[in-house]
Amino acid sequence: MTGLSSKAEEEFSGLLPADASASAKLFFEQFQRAGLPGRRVESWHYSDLRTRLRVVPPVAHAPDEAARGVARHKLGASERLRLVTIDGFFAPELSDDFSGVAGIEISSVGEAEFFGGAADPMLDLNAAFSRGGFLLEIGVGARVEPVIEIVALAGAETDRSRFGRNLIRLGAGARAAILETRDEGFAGFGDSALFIELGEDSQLDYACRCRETAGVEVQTLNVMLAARAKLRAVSLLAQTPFLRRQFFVSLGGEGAELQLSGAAILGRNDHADLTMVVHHNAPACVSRETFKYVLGDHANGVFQGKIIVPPHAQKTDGKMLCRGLLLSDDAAMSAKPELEIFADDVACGHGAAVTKLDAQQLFYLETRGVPHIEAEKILIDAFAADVFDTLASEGLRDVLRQDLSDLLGEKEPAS
Amino acid sequence: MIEIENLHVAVAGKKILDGLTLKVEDGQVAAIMGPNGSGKSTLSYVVAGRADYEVLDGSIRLDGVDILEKSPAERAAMGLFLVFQYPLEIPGVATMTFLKAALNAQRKARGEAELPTIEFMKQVRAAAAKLNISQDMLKRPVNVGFSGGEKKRMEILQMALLEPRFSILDEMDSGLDIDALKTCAEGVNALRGDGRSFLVITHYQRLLNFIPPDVVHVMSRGKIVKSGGPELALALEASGYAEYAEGAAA
Amino acid sequence: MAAVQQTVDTVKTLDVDAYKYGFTTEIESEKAPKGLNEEIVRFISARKKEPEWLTQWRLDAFKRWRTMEEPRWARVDYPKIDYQDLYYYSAPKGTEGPRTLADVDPELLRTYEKLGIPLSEQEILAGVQERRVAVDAVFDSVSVVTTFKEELGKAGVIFCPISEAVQSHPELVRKYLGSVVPVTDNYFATLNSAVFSDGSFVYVPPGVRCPMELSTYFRINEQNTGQFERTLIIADAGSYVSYLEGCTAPKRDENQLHAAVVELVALDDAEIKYSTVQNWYPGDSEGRGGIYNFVTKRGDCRGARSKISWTQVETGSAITWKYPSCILRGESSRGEFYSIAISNGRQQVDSGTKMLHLGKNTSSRIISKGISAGRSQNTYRGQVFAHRKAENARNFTNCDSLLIGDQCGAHTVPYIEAKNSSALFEHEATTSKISDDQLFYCMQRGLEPEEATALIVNGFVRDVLQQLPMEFAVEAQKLIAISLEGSVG
Ligand SMILES: Nc1ncnc2c1ncn2[C@@H]1O[C@H](COP(=O)(O)OP(=O)(O)OP(=O)(O)O)[C@@H](O)[C@H]1O
Ligand SMILES: [Mg+2]
Repeated sequence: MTGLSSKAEEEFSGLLPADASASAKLFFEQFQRAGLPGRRVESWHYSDLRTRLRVVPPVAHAPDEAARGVARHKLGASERLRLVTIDGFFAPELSDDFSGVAGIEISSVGEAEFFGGAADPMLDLNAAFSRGGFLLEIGVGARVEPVIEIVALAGAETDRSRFGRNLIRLGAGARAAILETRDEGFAGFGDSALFIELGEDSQLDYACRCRETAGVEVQTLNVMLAARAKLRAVSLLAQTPFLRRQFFVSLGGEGAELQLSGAAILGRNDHADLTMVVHHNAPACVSRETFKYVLGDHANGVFQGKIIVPPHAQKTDGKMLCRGLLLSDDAAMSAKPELEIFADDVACGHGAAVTKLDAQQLFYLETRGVPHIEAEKILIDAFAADVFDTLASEGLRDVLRQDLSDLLGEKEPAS
Repeated sequence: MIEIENLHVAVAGKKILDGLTLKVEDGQVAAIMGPNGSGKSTLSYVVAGRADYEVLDGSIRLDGVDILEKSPAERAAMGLFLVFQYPLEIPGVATMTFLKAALNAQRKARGEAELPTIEFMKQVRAAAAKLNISQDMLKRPVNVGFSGGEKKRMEILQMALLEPRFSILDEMDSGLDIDALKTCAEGVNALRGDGRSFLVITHYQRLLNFIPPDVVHVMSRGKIVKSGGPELALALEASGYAEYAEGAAA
Repeated sequence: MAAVQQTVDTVKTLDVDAYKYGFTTEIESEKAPKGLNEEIVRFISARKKEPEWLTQWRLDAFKRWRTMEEPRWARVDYPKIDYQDLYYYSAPKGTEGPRTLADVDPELLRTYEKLGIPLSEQEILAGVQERRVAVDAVFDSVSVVTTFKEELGKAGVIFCPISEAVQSHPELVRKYLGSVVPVTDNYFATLNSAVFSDGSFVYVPPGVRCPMELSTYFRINEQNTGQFERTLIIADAGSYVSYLEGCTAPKRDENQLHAAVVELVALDDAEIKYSTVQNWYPGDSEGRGGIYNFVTKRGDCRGARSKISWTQVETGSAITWKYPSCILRGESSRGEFYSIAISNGRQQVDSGTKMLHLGKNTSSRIISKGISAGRSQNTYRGQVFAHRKAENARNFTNCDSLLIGDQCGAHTVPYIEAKNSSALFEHEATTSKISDDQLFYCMQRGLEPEEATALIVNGFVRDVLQQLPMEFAVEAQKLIAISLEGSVG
């Protein structure tokens, strides 16, 4: 409850179409009750959306031919199998034909059809506005070898509000590697949701690279793991004017395993907030959260992690690590790694550190002839890249490594 | 050729090198011996260009060029190499990545082309085999989790790859077992000749048995207090440093 | 192994009755009427014969307080407090004005004797030789006696009830009161500013090393009475003082409110060591009764190279809401926080610290050990902040939690905020239970489960116990064992 409603909240209210479904209206009311989260809401303290989102751009429409043209231009060619969304709408015309690939089923969805997930106002807002996402299903026991890529692009050439909402579901024992590339451009507002449901014994490698996120953007991931399912997920963030990427994970079956990692390479006035709530809802689950921040210029990095262990989740093994590397005096890092534990037979821990580059290591590299700037890049790369190692898929690791090295290549030398 | 003249150095406001003068000719192997804390490591760090050392007076010239204003990397590109007494661990940086970055940076600085990856791998493997360094060690991050002896061998491996014209070996022998000592010394000796010179810092004659020096210097309280031939090292082994310590105090 | 044997012995001598300070003292007292309004504030101020500025200060605080809301962010849960159903002032009869031991009611002296607090100047704290401790004994709303005043006076150290300091050193009180914890700081601090009754005042002049430990012993006796003490300690340039604080209260079925404010000021090169053993009545096993301990403690390292160190052993209270903090303003100043927080029964603890690095080269260290047993909830909440200008700020934090039994909760909520690239912050936390292997090993050597548990817990908290002055460390060790009684089934 944030008291008075903000101008943006009222604008949202005006944007909701009069013929919106009953459930959309219900979600919107829920959003309205909580209001746009800001610094007075504990879990949004470091990302004051209420202040950042002053004006709400018009809601994006389903893509027309012009929009598809814009997106197609940006898409280029690739060897990977791709699923494309434009302004949050699934675009089969630009996507590859998956009919030949065994075990994959792709369908369009209209209004929000899958619910659940966390109680979060931005997720409610997404449910109220979203239209036309996709459902990607990997069938029971299917092993999909090639990397599947989801590409989120912009079609509109002016500021828009986008509300993509997609679902990835793996049947029991299925395996897949999915790359998500979010490249919707700097314009507008984004409030997307991705649901991931992993059946028993299934395994998913998932990597997301977020570049050029919207002026103000919230990405919500709702993840559910059944017994013995494994998710290895990595996020690589860069060029994020104001991004909140939040994960709500439920380890719902005994023996499920989560590796949640990420690296944020930020400069300029970038703000990136990685927030995660990991609920160990069953005994003997394992989770590892590892996040690295490289912060230059006026960048602001935020890490919030919470491991929750209810009384019945005995034998929980949860460890969280967050490290920030500050390269500039104007950069800032805030970290809040929380443990909330109600079961006694657990081994949980977290570590957080904020440091600068190690002068001794730099010197050692330099005595080997590596110039200062190069040496810095090598150390930064090493600092960030080890989060990729949690992925089992070599293909995904290579993509991220290449991205990271491109990013560092562009980087201005740190002073 | 390296020439150090009247070098005065302070660290954290404390004077450590006190008018040190030393010359190592091309092709020469010079040994430095001296009690703990006399400033041997300090000397090697200053020559390599580590920050935080305040050079109050004096000069260091490499082949006639004053290097005091040069960065550590520039010095390395000029052929200077330091075997650290305590090699650093660099978590996350793969040894191969590190070696390649170093080699190519130096080649680039000298205007040479980058080494093709295949050629590079071949060279590393060959050098590693000679030093009994396993492929597994090469796969790990730089020095991370290595034993003291393994770290030293990794230092020598780097030296073998970079083929420096001027090397400082700061207690290369510490932490090495007798076989590893032999292997490492062979690595050093293989580079001898071609006008390469070495400054070998050690406490023990044993190393000098394997790497026979041309000259031996005794260092005490931040300067060279005596110089002589290989026999000086033998004399020190018998009598210790007492004489020099007192001499310096008087 | 001597230490181990000692712990075992200690555990063996434990009282059967877990809370042994639960008796009441039958003594006549004078109370202000129940409830809180401007009249009561004036009443308290008049009782203490305070100057006009202080009365006004209290009234301003009261006005402000009425506009504020009780904080709700901590992980504690309690029914709404009826602030009009409390007594805000209660004093044993005949305790007005400064006193010596001879003037003190013998019943009161017996009370302190029973509590193990020697008020006679010849005696010393139980079990420790040749260490003298000056004591300020606060009973409900007033200080009943302060020992060793004269001897301290010779060294120039002022140690007296704050009500007395208002009369004898008004300039010091006026200069520093509210300068660390502003009147408007938070709901409970503002309430305290309006109605604070007594507490200790310490001033250590430049260059003086205080010749003995100073301590204040707080006792709540009356029913339905809040205790609102206020402590102010000023260590002038180059001085040193070690201050201890202890607290107990009788067993009562209703909850009692304790909302204290402690302000520390360390000038250039000064050092203050502040230790607390908090053993307020925790309530019974069903959660009836117990103290609400809502305390604001803050130290200001105002001078260069100054140092403030907080050590706390928290075993009592139904609810603890307490964050002893350091403002590291002076260059190269240092803050430390060492804490053991034990919760059992239905206790709720939300405690931790704040280290605010404002000056250059400031450093801080946090070691927190939380132990939850029974049906208790134990939260560590700590903030470490480096300002843009706090070059080379350093923090090391280690907070470990131990769970005993499967009905309790242990939570860790750190806030780490760095706005400076030369800052170096390290934070580690773990939550675990006592390992079965360790227990088995101890038991195989003949220890009962409870002894084994106490032994292991003592090992777990050792880093912090070492920070306590000797006499407190012994007492704290006993307390820890007592607090955990009945937690192993
Ligand atoms: N950063 C520093 N701050 C203060 N003193 C230093 C620093 N570095 C070196 N020293 C001091 O300088 C002196 C010389 O140290 P150095 O390491 O050069 O000795 P050394 O001759 O290599 O000794 P050893 O034989 O033990 O390796 C020692 O007294 C050492 O403590
Ligand atoms: Mg040395």
